[in-house]
Amino acid sequence: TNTIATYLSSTIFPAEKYEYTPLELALIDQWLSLTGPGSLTDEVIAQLNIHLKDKTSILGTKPSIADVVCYVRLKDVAKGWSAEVRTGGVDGGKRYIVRWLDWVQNSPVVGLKLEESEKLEVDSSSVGTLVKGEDVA
Amino acid sequence: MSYTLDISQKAPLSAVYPALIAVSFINRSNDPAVNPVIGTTFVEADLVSSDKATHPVALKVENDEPIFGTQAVLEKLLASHGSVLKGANSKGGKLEEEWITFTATRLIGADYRSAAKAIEELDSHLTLRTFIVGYTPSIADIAVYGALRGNPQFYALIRKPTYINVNRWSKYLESIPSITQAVEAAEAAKKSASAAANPGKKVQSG
Repeated sequence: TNTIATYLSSTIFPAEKYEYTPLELALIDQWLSLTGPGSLTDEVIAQLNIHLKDKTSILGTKPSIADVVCYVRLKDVAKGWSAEVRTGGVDGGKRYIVRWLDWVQNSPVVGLKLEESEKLEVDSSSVGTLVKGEDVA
Repeated sequence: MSYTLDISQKAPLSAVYPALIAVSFINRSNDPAVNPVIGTTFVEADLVSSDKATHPVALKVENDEPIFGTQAVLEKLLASHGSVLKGANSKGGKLEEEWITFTATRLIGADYRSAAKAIEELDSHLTLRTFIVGYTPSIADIAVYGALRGNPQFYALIRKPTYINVNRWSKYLESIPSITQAVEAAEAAKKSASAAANPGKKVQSG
């Protein structure tokens, strides 16, 4: 992850372009510490998955440094996930995290400019019809 | 080359929003290719093509025949303003065209049941995707969102968490100023049109 860390330092969300409210800053802090070394448990991962269910970015729609740092921390964990863990099971797996990781690594708004080999492999169409029934009353 | 979009005030909003939002999106982009801006005119009359059919929208192209109808207008805009309307990493615009067709055939004018079926397919498509095509908003998102937004029943459906992926996607699109501004402009035009048509009646707001 050294390469990514280099990108990290150069990746800035300039204040004139992105203004964060106190609540958003608190959310950034919260997810930076929750996913920190020693803190990133299965339970935190499950929480993050639920948090991202109805949000494109950690803050909702706005990108932030939390997306970048949490991406770096989660990517290698996600590499070890089977297809079942990613999108399967009764709860649909970690699909919200997988979708968010793919957005972070590819979105020009986040601007990571990773090589293909550095990215988590995501087949966006691999869910197919499995999703059906999820959350549908 | 200059373009103008004519919008019939008689047309349902679900057939108007896709082209109107696309034009707003083009006009607000920073792309130097987008020059001059595309004008929009709300007209009271029907928009009638040479075969006497009426259409919700028409795109007038300088020194050329006007283009009628939502699908044809969207395809023309994709061809003429692809740098703005294609999704990043999209493959040549083919996928965007498929979703324009999806919008025209599965959403605009659809009944509730068949629209719900189409929304369910969209929800599945958006499970691991943030946008319909590629990693940036494209004309595919604009077309589908516009058709859904313009129909109060369909819009109510995607506001609920039932279709969580469509719901999340719609919230992202609504964070984009050019999209919300186009919707507001159409609503204002619709209101002033009905106020003009019924001068005695008060127009309800909100």
